[in-house]
Amino acid sequence: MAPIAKRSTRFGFTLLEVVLAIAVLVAVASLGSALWTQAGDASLGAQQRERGLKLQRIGTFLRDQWSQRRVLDPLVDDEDEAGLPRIVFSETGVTFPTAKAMLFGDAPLVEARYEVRRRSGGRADLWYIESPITRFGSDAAVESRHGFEAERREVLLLAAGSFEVERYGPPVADDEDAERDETEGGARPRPGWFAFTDAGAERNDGVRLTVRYSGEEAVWVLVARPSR
Amino acid sequence: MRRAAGFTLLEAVLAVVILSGAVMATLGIRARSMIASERMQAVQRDERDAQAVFDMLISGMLGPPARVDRETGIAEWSGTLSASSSRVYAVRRSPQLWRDPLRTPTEAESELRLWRYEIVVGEAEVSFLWHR
Repeated sequence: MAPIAKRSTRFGFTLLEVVLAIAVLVAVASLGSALWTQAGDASLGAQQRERGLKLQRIGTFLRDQWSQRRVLDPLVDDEDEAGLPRIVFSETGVTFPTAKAMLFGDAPLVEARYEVRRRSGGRADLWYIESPITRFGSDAAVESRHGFEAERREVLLLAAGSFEVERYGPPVADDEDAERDETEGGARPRPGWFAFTDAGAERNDGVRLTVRYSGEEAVWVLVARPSR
Repeated sequence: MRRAAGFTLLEAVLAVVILSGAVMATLGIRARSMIASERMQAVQRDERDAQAVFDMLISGMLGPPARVDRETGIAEWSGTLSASSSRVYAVRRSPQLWRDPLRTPTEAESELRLWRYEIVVGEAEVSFLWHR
């Protein structure tokens, strides 16, 4: 009788294989986790960079438009200048005629309005409103729109953290922190940067816009009349 | 002799090391790219703020200097970009003699007295000559 060969067949992994598999899985999982975290950070960073770039683009375009602004003086015999577009600084922004259009590409001259619309909680939106200027005069506002689209608008910034508008010029009565120029008689108030108040200012030489948007801060200065 | 199918331990470890090296290199490139991007953003921010200070300075809207040295003529301005801004600027004005570009060759060497302005905002440093 032939002896029966005893074969020992053991299914499963050796300890070394199990340890190696665990090590490989842990390494792959930790790399995957690191990648996932980095992807999240990169996404947030890219979003912030995108917003920073947006501020940069708005600032550059605003400066370009401002450098192309036009001062529309009335004709000598034109006494009625009610409809004449002009540079206006106010607590809600700035309006000025310019030769650089954004929304009406064919218009040689447009009235650009950068308008800050306040929200509750200190947040604000920045709107850009553009109107083509085609005629000047008393009823320019009506006639220039005839046959043309009156205006186009675009939201430039949505829910900015804060948006402050300051004016440069002589202080008005409400400007408590106004300094006085002692070298010139002692009583003359020194021009400076002030917040817009209800009282109308005698004149505004410039405006300063400070915006905070997604961790970025930008300050834009528009000078209408240098004080030097 | 029967040869077992599959990878040896050495092969598996080598594969893991190579893969890890490739992933680490990719992550490194990505990290450097992110750092460069952030740096570019910071440079843009500094230049934008320096431009705002420049606009105010040449328009006389920075107000009187904080310090003036009567002997040397050096004047300094400093402050924040706006009432609510956290960005700090510093401006220094110092006298400088410069060759007169309009002088003719027959004339004696003449120099103009100009002002050198140096604006510092963040890491941006802007310098220019001006007659005022």
